[in-house]
Amino acid sequence: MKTEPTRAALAALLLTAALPVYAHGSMEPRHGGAVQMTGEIVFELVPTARGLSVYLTEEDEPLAASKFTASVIVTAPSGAKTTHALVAQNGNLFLAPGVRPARGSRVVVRIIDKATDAKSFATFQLT
Amino acid sequence: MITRSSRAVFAALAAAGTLLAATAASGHGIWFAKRATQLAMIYGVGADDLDAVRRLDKLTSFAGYDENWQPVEAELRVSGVIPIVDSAEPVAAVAAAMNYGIWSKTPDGEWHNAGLDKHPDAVTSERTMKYAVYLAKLPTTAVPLLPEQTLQVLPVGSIPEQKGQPLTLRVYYDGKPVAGANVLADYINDPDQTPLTTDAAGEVIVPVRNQGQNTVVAYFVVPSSEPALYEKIEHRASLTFVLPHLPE
Repeated sequence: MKTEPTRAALAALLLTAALPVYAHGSMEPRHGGAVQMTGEIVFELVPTARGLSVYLTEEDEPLAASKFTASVIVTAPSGAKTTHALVAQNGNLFLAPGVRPARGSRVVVRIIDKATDAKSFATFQLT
Repeated sequence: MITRSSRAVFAALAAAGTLLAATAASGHGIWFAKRATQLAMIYGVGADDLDAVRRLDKLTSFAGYDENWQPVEAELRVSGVIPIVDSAEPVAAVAAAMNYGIWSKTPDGEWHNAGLDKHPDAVTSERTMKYAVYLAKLPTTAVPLLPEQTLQVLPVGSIPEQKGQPLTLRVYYDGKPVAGANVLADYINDPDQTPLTTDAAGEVIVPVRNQGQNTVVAYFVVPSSEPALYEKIEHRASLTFVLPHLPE
């Protein structure tokens, strides 16, 4: 016999199944930027007045920027390509000081884990 | 008690084993696969992921490409027990070629990394060449013939995004479609499958096997260019592509 609580539980389960689940963390930007995931690492790219900022998280937890060597490769709409160091700041923040790519630029963020040498990329198209 | 009929069965099994051993000895290939988020070059067959690091000296070429098939600065770097792709920028595809050298099988069943000049009693001898192309994303433009890929498997048209869908493949040898090449649709999960054979246009149609990594292998045997050293050359080429899974 089906009881009301059983129906309610079933409805709750169905609702849970329908909700988006991010297995490796939220893809919602936390700093107003653009978000990409590579492997399990979430990159958030934020153009600011000071330069390009990048935040790293994994499973919704910040990854210490000091544990990575990082750089950014900017390809302008003209095709000109420049590479800039991303400097580790506090917490999970990197900054490429003074780098302000034009609209239409392609930005590749490259990080290398200092402990494992594992390299990861995230590619953004600025609109 | 061993009877005459059971002896016959044993003999048949032994013969089959010898045949399988001979096939396996020359059946290894190279391909690429993700390992702990990095792209690694694999040497082996089926689930046998063998020591690729000690075979790196046999590589004759390695190249990375972007989505427009322009070269990307890239190399293979040893990371622990595997060689991984180390590129300056993201790669949309990579390719490698390996000259695995001359191998001879003597009557005792042993394979030797030497030619008929060293083993004139060999029952078979060959030079083996191995090639690999990996597509990091399903390509939006036609996959071109790549340098150093003497044998290459190309998708004809788009690669379907769902497993089970038919995929036409064309096998090229020396830049031309080749009839009579053998094609294994899933070299990793079913390496002992009966191969398909390319038709006059160099084509076969295979069902895409996996909603994940697919490694198709073609092999093609040509006569020796140095008959005093070996009888034939086996070219073995892989094409690897990955179908996306549902969002997590």
